[in-house]
Amino acid sequence: MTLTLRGPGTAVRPVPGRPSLGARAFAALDIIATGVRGVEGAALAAHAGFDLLGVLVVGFVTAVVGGMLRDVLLGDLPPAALRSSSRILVALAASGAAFVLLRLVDEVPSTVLLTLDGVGLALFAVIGAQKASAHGASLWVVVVVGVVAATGGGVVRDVLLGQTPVLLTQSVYGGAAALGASATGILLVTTRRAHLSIAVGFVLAFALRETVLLLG
Amino acid sequence: MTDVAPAARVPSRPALGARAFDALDIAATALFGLEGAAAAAHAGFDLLGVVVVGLIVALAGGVLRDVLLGDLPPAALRTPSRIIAGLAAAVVAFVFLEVVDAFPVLPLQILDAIGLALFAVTGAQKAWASGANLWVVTILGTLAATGGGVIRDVLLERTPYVLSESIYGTAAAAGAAVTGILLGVTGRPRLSLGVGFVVALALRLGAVIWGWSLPRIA
Repeated sequence: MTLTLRGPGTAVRPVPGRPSLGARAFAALDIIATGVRGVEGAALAAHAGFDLLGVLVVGFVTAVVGGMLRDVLLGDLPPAALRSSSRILVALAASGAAFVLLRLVDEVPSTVLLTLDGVGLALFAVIGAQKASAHGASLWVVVVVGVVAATGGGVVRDVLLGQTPVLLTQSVYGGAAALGASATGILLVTTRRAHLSIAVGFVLAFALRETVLLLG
Repeated sequence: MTDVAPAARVPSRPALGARAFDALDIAATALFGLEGAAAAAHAGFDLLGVVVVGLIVALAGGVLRDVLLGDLPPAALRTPSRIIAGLAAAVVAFVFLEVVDAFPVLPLQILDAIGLALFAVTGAQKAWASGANLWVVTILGTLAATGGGVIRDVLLERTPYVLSESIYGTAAAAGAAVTGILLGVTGRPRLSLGVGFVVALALRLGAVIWGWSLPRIA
């Protein structure tokens, strides 16, 4: 689990020996996480009283920034979100849907939003971890990239909305992402089974986050 | 996770010449530097604060655009011209504001609108020339145009313009989209950028003067 040293300027590339999800499965999970994050970010912006554009911007940013940061840090450019239209369209559609929904119902219960947030957090943590691992990163890097991917969108969302980032105020937010990312990273190396590692990491991250929310 | 070469120019895509692109990009950089510095000076920062905010507003949008296109190092850090333009504009704004007590708001908003429209169309054209599709072109144009202002507002602890002003991001997105569509249809970069610029500027100035806005949840 050592990080191979590379010459300056060489981008990180997928390493053949590392277990990796197929490109399809990865894109599917990444796009689902993007949609979930978009709904949740847009709903918060709408609650904060922004107009349609503000809601679309916050939803979009919340949805794509985590994955963009992950890809920029891994040197995989342009980031997946800007290589095809799928993530852009999903993020905008999710934000638009949240805006319309909030015009119909008065208020979305906060448990729904918190559950969505937990799903987005856990998904981005494990697929970020798997992408870093597949690119040959060490376990430390895998955990950091997973946490950045999972929490980056939420941090930018909170800064835009003028709130203290949840990452800083709630101890078991970044902690849940780190747990999921490290479990995924360790299992990927020990079992070499990508689906299993990601599923276990996801369950751990989601369960930890939701347990803390339920118990206060 | 296919390997894609970073933002190489696609030969079949029409592009502005490097000179014309740099000229527009640097003009927009200086405008944003002026405007960001004036905003910081109004907020009561000293010379260093004014220069820092001015430089960030001037450079951040273009740097974000280039990082996301994989065109590294970003244009702003490849030659000193944009750094010098941003710094000079910030200092000019500071000195000028020491001389005249208060600068009326409208000229600042017009400068901001011109910078916004310029960055939207140059960002769109750069994304287009590197082979991006229309959605990506629009997003990158909008990001290049609004990124600097968002960071300015976060630094000055204000609600970002792009969220509070309806026709700000919308104007940038419209200008970028029009530029992208015309580049695809006509293949003539100067015409496409010209029309996109006018669309973005007209929308933004119309919103400033007549107070247009989008629907919000009551």
